[in-house]
Amino acid sequence: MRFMDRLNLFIRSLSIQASWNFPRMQGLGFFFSLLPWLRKAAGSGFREACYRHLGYFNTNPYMSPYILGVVARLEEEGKGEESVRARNNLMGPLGAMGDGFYWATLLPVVILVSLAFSFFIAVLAPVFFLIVYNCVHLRNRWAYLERGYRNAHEPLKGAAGLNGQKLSKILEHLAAPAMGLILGMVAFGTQTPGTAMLLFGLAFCLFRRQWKMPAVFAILVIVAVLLGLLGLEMSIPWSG
Amino acid sequence: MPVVLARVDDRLLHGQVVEGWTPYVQADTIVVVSDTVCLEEDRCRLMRLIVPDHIELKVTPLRGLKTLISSSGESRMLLLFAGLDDVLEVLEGGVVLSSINVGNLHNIKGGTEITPSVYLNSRDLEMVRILAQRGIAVEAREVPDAAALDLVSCLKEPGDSQ
Amino acid sequence: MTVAVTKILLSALVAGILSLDRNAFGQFQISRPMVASFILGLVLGVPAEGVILGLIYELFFLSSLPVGSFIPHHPLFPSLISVLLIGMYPGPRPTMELIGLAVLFGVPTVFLDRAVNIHWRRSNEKAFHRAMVYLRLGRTDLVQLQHLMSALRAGLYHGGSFLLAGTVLVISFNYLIKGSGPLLARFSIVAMIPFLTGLAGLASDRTARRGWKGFTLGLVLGAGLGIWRALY
Repeated sequence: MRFMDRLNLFIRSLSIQASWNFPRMQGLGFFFSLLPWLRKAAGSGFREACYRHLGYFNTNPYMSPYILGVVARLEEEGKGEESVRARNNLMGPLGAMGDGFYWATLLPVVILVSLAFSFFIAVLAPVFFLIVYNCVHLRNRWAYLERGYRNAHEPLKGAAGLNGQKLSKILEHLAAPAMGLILGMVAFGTQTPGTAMLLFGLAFCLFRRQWKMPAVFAILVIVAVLLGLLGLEMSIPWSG
Repeated sequence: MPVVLARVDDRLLHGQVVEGWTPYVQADTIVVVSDTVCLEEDRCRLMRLIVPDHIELKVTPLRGLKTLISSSGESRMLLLFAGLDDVLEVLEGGVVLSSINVGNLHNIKGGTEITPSVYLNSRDLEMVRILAQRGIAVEAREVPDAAALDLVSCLKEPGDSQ
Repeated sequence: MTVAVTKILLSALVAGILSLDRNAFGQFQISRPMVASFILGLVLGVPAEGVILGLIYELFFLSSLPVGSFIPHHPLFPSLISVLLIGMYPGPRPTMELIGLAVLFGVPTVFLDRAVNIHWRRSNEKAFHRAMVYLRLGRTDLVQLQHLMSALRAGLYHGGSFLLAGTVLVISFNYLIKGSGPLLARFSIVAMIPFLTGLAGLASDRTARRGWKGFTLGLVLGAGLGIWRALY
């Protein structure tokens, strides 16, 4: 695969969610990403290849380049049926890997760590967050594309290393201390530790009883206004 | 031998189960109950990759579920079925379930939309009715954060049962 | 008057573009509140308040994940609305109470955002069917156009609804603060509630999985750092 083809596939794959709908999910986005490559590689089988790849598709957007890489290679070699099977087998598990790594681990942990910085210089938080998070996922997306293309004949073997378990474990250990640190600094960095701890404790108990976010928020607003009427205050721990 | 959640999901094991439900119900074992999946070596291997280390994954055919439940001691199990017919078959085999969670049923022929992720056709609705007659609660809910929809009460409205 | 209209139009444009990041193109997470609020703060000339409001909203609803076909609530609209309210405030530098009130006004738009989002996703269903028809006709250029038009619609729907909601909320916000002086002071605590509920939601999620050790350690460390910072 030439560099320009790879770049085109990569840039198009960034938009894979852009026509997300309930019955077919990323189906059109997947087809959109693959189309220029199909036109080039599938030759006389272009039309059939199109019908094969415009349908149901859903995976984690960050993981989609891997599947695109696999399908691109197989279509290039004229193995249409195999490419469909690989696509369908990969999207569920890769989606779960991506959800677990990017949405459930990397994003919250990077956010929590940047929040810990924010108490010293507030503007540092968004800047740090953007740089770290984007470096990781853009680098990975680019590498997944290559990796999928290379491992197209053994796609499952190639996918084995993608769950990022090592990094995941390190990040997981960072999450809880970072949350504690943030709570400690929010509460004790201001003149009003009591109010903050009280409200946090109340919200925590309600979440433990399986309350949903809107209900917890409503209860806390009522409590906060009542505390305000009693004359209590709480200051914001950041200075812009 | 508690079954903490029995879920119907045509995509079986994916992010919603691993990241959403497993910590929510505090399960330590995920059991994929399917006659077809246990024959596919590749899919089993992939599924093992996405389950975190501290959670056990088991794949069993429908018939094997009863002995699996009775032999697994105190572990908290999350059962995954590919369709409602599998659930009924397992119940016929003597497994006891108190409630069913329907997560995703997308690719159903002639199905009408109940929620954006659950489509049921007349045969599925008939199966929900049979489950309800046995006193089993059936809810449609994708992830713990979402609102639950009681499918049994859905049946009673004449417009939906057609 | 022209300045006010320009400000609202500009922020609707920002809302539309940032919603594209979340829904359509890239997932670079520039739609996370702390980034989005900072950007809008810069645009409206209140960068300091923008950063603070972004941090306040950052953890709100963070514990619900966008897995599968589940569309979680996202704090993009609330954070932008709150910055808009502060940016449109005619008086001198806004106080704590005003930020609290702006948060109270902003939070309900989280439901508007989700409703618009789901409406957009449903409209894509028709786009998909049109794409199928065009493919059968052999017009792959029009298939691609359907995809791009869907993305454009995401921006239009979100930006448009932000414009409507923003206008209504700015007018009622300014009307309210003119009418009630001393009552305002009661809302100062409200400002930090999205942050605290978000943190509590995330913490209850994580401590259920991982136990209390790390959390307690961090808490002690944070309390020490906080006291040190408050003293010096």
